[in-house]
Amino acid sequence: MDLRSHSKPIEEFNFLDPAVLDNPFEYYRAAQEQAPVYLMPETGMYLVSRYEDLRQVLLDTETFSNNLDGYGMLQGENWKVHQGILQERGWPDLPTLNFTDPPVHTRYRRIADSIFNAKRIAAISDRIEELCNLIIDRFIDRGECEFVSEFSFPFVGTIISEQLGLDSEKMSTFKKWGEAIMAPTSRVMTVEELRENAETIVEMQHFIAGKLEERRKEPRNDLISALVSSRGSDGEELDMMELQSFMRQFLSGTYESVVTMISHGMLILLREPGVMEQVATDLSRVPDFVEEALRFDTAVPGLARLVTRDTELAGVHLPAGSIVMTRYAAANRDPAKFDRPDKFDIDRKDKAHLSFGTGPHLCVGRLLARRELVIAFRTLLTRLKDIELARPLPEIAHVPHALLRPMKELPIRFAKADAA
Amino acid sequence: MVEVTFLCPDGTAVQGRGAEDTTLMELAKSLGIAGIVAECGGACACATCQVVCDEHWFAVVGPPNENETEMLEMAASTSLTSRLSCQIRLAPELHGLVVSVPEEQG
Repeated sequence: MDLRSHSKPIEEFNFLDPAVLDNPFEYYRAAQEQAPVYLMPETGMYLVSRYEDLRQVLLDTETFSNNLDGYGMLQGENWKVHQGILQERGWPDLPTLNFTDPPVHTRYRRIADSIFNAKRIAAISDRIEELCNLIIDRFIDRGECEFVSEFSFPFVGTIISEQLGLDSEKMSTFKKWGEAIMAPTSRVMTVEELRENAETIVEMQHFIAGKLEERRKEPRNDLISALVSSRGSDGEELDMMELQSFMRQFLSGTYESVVTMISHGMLILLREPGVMEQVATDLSRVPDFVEEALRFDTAVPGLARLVTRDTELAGVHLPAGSIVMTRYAAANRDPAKFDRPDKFDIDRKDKAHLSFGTGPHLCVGRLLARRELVIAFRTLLTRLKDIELARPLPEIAHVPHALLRPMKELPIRFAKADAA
Repeated sequence: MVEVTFLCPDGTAVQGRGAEDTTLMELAKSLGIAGIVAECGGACACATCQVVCDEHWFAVVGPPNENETEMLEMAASTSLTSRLSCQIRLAPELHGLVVSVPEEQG
């Protein structure tokens, strides 16, 4: 069968079109079939959409470097204004975990791994479950809720703020900070917007500096205490600039992505026939549901790499200095890797999706993210039943964003399950 | 070619042959051993390709390297003779190697 005839010509899509960002899967298939390494005229970056090509990019950090200014990539010259404000009154960006390659990366990676490792995540699991139940208590008697703002966000926000030592009652401030970190990656901003954004980051940095000092004096059982006391392979503790960089990356990596993934999981339960019943009647299937949801509609559809030397990928010449967009969401639907990729199938044997990337930059928070997702859906499906969409979603359900897929809203109705 | 046997958690034994200087993880993946996930693709950035050797084979394979030790320390569970299969290069002295695949990786 000639699949090519089924996809619209790639030139007819615009990656930045909100409708394409909202439902990009037809575009990804067109790219895979017509131009698997595709220079997008609208961004000047190369989209890598096939599984094996993407894996090659992620494993070869010498050719495809993470050493790029990931936050300011879209902002051109104006980014200097933003960076100048941090330099002057806060702490300038220092590449640590992200935007570095081995061996610089390795030192920081070990520290991050020691904070997000399996034992520590296991130790906070009971607390995560407790928080999950408390969040559900707030809306369960109403029989309805706006799932993104009443469950996904407060659930993830409370866990992260507790673990990072930020006061959970300051949730709206925390949301503002999280958005300020990611805003420059989502769209081209005006100088005034960048200035304002930088001021917000400076405010966050000073708050964090205070918390870090507090925990250095009086450590608690949270991730931020582990961070201030951890030492690199050289035996040295992290200095304030390094700590600020870590915190910024923790906040950008552990928040919006998991919020969206939980919302996507709920959307899948509502939309995919039979899945809700299959999982609710056998909660031991929740981990399989979570892995398939991660593959099916990942919250971080793509990040970027810098080409360090002239090279070739899938027959396409990539000049040194090019930016490659690593499209995990496309690779996860590559028919050459996954049988019937557009079907949601919790019995799928091949679970090797690339939603957490692979190689040295494999998502450091993946164990925490998976634990949050599993606990969220196990608890939700224990306490709620007959969940349905309360009203149709907006025609474009996601906030347009190149690297993330935040949902605008997800209003649901439900009944209390007997077990609650 | 180096012959290796994987003892899987379901009680089955899977035998395969890998080329010298490829890794034990690559052989496990090519054989489709379910318990070997290798999420980071062999970069020693996770602990999802763990195997356990018996004492005899552990002495031949050798102890984990420094990075590997750090990754193993962070895993949910390990034993004294655990190794990450991505860090084991197949060599003639490993011909006949037998390793167990743990029930859970992470």
